[in-house]
Amino acid sequence: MPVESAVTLLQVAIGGVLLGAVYALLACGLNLIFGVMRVINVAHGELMMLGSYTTFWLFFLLGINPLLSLLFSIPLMFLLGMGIQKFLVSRVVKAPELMSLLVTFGISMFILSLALYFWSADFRSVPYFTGSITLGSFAFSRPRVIAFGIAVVITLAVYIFLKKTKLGKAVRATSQSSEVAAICGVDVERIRLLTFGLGSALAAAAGSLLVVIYAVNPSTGQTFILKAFAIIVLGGMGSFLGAFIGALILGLAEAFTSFFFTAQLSEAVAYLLLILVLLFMPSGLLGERE
Amino acid sequence: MLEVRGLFSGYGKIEILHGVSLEVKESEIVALIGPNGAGKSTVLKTIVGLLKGKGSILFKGEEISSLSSHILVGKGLSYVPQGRIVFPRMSVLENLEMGAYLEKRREKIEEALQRVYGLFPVLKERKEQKAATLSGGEQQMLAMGRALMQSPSLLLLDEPSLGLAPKYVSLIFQKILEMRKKVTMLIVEQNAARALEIADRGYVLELGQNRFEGSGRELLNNPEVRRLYLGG
Ligand SMILES: Nc1ncnc2c1ncn2[C@@H]1O[C@H](COP(=O)(O)OP(=O)(O)OP(=O)(O)O)[C@@H](O)[C@H]1O
Ligand SMILES: [Mg+2]
Repeated sequence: MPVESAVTLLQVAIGGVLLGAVYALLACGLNLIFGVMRVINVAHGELMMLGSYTTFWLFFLLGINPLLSLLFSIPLMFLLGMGIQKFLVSRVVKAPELMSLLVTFGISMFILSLALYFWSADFRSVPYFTGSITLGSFAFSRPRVIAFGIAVVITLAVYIFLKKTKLGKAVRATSQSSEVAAICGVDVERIRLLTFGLGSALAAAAGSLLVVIYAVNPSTGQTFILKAFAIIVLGGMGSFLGAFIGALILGLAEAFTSFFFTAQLSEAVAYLLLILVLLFMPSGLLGERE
Repeated sequence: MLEVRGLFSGYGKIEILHGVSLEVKESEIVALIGPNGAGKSTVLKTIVGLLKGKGSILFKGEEISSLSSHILVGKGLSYVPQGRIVFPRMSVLENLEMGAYLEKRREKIEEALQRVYGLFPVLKERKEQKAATLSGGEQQMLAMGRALMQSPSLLLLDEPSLGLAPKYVSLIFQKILEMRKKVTMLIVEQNAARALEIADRGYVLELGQNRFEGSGRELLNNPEVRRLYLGG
């Protein structure tokens, strides 16, 4: 194989990983919520979209650095997520799973229509970081490298929180058995609130970083939530680490598909992966098998 | 220590307990026996607040029937559910530490840990192992150890020997006897004869109601209890 094409392939792979890290933020949040609550938060994509718009408007109106705007979008969606849990989802968490699916679907549609009404379907982006970083014969888009770095740091921080801190362990314990967590002294309602907030905050971070590398409109959340579904099925439902790995795989798969075929086809890759995993590896890469 | 009066409880609209009463005094072992589906587990789940019931539950003189599970733990009421439920993807040590979730002082946790390791040395050997990889008997010991991490004054044990290999059944009963010096226990058991042998007193539950009660010996010798629940 000629050297140039090896370099090109590596470049494509790195591009895939860079995008995958942003997917990871979104999917890890979704899977965290699913793990603890057994609720698939269909509105997760809209929370991400709201994160994007927070960053966009702060940049557009006040010229605020998009990385700085993470400090707004993250707590904002954390609060919104807790509100959704407290006032809506907690009321149906004991009902059949279809109920919570319908409730979050309703929230998703509600946010989407409001966003379309107020902000129109125009695509927005935040061209704050530009140019590329060259390393030898490689060139990477600067915004993507920055988004990647931040996404990895945030995901890692949440992972360490879950693994090492007492509160994080209570979150994991609740996802493994909420009854036993309760008889260990864990206030399960509080943990659910925290988890929904944390998951939503991750979606917000994904949104804020996405709008730096990608043009976003109110429907972007829908496209991305479907990718996130594919990722958590691939990585294993409820597994934080699985979602991270799944996201990188999807990023790579999409990058190679657009390189060898066309960008249009790369949209289909997520669904192809979804179907293949469901058929041949239904519990995913790191799925829970009790 | 524990006084249950006229307890009604169930799942959703289905009522399972129709007025159950029982009492556990300080430093007693009380056995709760009865056929499958009698409602024994339902009694324990209602006492620890996992199910909401009607009736009175006094623990150390305080009415606790409206309190949530995570509050009761802090009051000294611990529970080992049926089916040796552990946190499967956590290590043995993490499982035990979760037991002491409400304890803030590191040295107290360490102390409790040493006590539990003393009672169940196998847990110390396997402390880094994921709980899912333990054998059934080891998981039961882990579930008991997790409850003991709370240094309870009353321990509710639901079917500690269910589904275990014979060598583990004997081991678990031996451990219960070792625990009796430190903690009062209410034990639900399939293995009724064995439970009554070690119990100070016992209650027989049937179809969600009290059927018999008495000292362990009285129940063991009661011809009707023998015929119905002890196989002859
Ligand atoms: N989660 C539940 N939802 C609905 N009904 C339940 C549930 N758990 C138990 N039941 C019903 O309640 C009744 C009493 O169950 P319980 O588990 O208390 O019995 P038990 O005496 O502990 O029996 P076993 O010896 O089999 O453990 C049974 O008829 C059972 O089918
Ligand atoms: Mg039972």
